[in-house]
Amino acid sequence: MNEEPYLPPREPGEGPAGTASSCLWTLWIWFGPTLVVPFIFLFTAAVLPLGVLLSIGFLILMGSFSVGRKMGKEGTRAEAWRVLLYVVLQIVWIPLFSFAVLWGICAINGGMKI
Amino acid sequence: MPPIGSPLYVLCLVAGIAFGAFFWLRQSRHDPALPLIYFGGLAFAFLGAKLAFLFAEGWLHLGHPDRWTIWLSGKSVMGALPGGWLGVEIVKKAIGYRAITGDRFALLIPVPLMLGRIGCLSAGCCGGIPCSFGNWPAVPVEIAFQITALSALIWMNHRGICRGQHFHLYLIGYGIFRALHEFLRSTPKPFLGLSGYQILALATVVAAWAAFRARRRAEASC
Repeated sequence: MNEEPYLPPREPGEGPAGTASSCLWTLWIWFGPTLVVPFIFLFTAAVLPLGVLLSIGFLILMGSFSVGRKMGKEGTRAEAWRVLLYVVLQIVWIPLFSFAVLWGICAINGGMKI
Repeated sequence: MPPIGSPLYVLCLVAGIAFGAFFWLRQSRHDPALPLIYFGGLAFAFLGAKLAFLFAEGWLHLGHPDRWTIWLSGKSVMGALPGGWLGVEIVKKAIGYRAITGDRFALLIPVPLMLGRIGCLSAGCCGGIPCSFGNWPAVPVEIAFQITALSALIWMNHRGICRGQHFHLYLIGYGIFRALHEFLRSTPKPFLGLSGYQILALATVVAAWAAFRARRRAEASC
């Protein structure tokens, strides 16, 4: 039995569902951190804990402004759970994707794809 | 010498991800939970791909001077598929999403995998064993499998055959193909003459078959 989908409140600057601004917003939510987090690490390379702290803070902020509000009812466990899922998935995704891209772009020796 | 990285490979990788993202973002107009499920599949597919590589052959490079480069760049489709499947199921369970998503996922998989294999051709990796006419064309054979699978999935979708089971069927098909094709690929076979990818392929077939039967039973009891 399917649950009725929760219709989310729109964020400021986000257009109606299906419009270009809505698509860009969704792309930014999911793939924006893939671009931003490596830059945070680049600029804080000398102070690694600061980079980690800033990155996680940024991801929590992105998560709570997007998946938390978009799909959960505010203040519920579901919202916090979704934000946590968002942060964990981004933490898994960003380094793995970054290394794959770095390997290809730099054409460094020694990689294997099976 | 291990193959070198290729910018075309990156282009194919990004194109494959963009292909999936475009489809899922379009679908999310009707269902806002779908991007989270898609992203769960994507992240766990990458994680699974890495773990599969480390299990199958990453550990063989323990003493290699370039081991970190090898470990960081190595990945396998044979881990990406079960990994992505697990990711989707974890996210669905976590957010209480009960609708079937496998049919939509199944249709999306062959195209990025074909793109990935085109990347393999450009990087010169994932080749076959030497045989009478040169090296076995492992990558073109994989691409041919994906084209066949995509055609079958489109046909099944169009005819409404085995609804809700397409992803399971794809996993069973690819797992069997991969377990057999692995004998013709130049991968290390450290597990009693079998490669780690063969073991993963067989495990995937068993898991997908169990999921296929479980869903069939659940549908019969409705």
